[in-house]
Amino acid sequence: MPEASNDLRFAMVNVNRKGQVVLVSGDLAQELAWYSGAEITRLLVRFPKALRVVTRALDRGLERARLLIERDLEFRLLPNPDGGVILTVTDLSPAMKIQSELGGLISTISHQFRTPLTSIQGALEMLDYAGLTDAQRADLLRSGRRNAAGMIRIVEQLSRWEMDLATGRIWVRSAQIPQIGREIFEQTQAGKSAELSVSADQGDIVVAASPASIASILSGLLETLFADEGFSGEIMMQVRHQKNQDSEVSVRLGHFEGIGWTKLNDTSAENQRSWQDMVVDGQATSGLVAAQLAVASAEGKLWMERSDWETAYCFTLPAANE
Amino acid sequence: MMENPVQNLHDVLIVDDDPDILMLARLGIETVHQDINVRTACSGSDALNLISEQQPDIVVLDLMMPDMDGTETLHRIRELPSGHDVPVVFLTAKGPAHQSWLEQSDCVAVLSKPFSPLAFGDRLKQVWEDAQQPAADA
Repeated sequence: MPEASNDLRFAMVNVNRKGQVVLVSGDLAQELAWYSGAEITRLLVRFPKALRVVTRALDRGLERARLLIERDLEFRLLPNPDGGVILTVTDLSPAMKIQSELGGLISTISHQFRTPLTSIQGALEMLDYAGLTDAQRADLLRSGRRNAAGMIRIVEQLSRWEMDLATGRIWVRSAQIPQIGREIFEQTQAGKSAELSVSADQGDIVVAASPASIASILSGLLETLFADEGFSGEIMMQVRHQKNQDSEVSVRLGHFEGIGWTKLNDTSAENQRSWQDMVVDGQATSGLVAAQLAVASAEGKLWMERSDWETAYCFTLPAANE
Repeated sequence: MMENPVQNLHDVLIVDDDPDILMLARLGIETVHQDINVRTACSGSDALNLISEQQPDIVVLDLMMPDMDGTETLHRIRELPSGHDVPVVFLTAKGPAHQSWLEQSDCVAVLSKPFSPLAFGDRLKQVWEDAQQPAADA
């Protein structure tokens, strides 16, 4: 099992129907707390895999930060066995810093080689020239020998680094999703963890969001999509929590303007393909299906309705231009 | 309209903390171009003194130097009455990424190490003539 990294930074974010962050945990929480739900969902829609954002650090936890911090953050939506969706925000800055430092190290090594190489190569070139005095030739030979010795010292240093790497005295640490899951689980177990759980079987992060949280995230996604297109009407999204977790999910969606309703569990080839696009591991999970639907439908207007579920979460979102 | 003739390169100042580089550059230039006077400085502050005494035609400036690095030296050169318009060439062992960054600075060219000592004078003459061209066109 990999050791949890002390450098790891993580946040779990829920977005409510008003586009506000209502639940944030993890050590990025304070910085991300000032991001509105709409901002987060806009980032998710446009950059579903990874993005660089500027986060704001809090000043004593009470006021908006005056300090801007640039971080490399990765946002992911993951399925949950209970039918929920998990939004994770992982700070990749430490890994990016390592990458940058590695580049700097290579640049430095290159620089350290080029300088003595200039003297050696230059001395050889000049020694080929017939018009030099004996004193000049002697100077060039001394310079060549001195710089060759310098290059040998660099090579010896590199050999020592190689040994340090092999024996673990120098090492590179990377952030892994299982580490994040374990870390956030341990953190939340110590505090309020009513909405959080961890499953060990997948070896992946499985911090569950409640159906209400799922719905709120989806609301933010849809709101963002419609806002970008200048939506002027009213959006209704209906999400119902499934009573029987094993039963087939029935999802119906269509364009907001009511053109061409599509029932996603139809067996027609075209609709089946659409359905397959939204199924993960052969089983639809409400949050992920809807989130993927939102991302995939970024250029269209949609309306979702789920039937045969016992508990309903219904939202009416205001028009973006109101 | 009368055109300004391009001046010949006569006076070169090379600044580098490595005495071997200074020796090679001087030897290479003077071997091929007897009409070019080469002065050398082993630090940024020495370069500032030499420029104050007499403005060179062109300054070749190493980037990585102790105390005062190449960019700081260039900044200080520009504050001198005899240095505000002198063409400056960076000579660096840094890689291409850094060279691209240097090209955005107030220099006329970025030359990389290793370089050929015997071809160095010709390279500087070319840079010098290119630097004169805007003035001649004006």
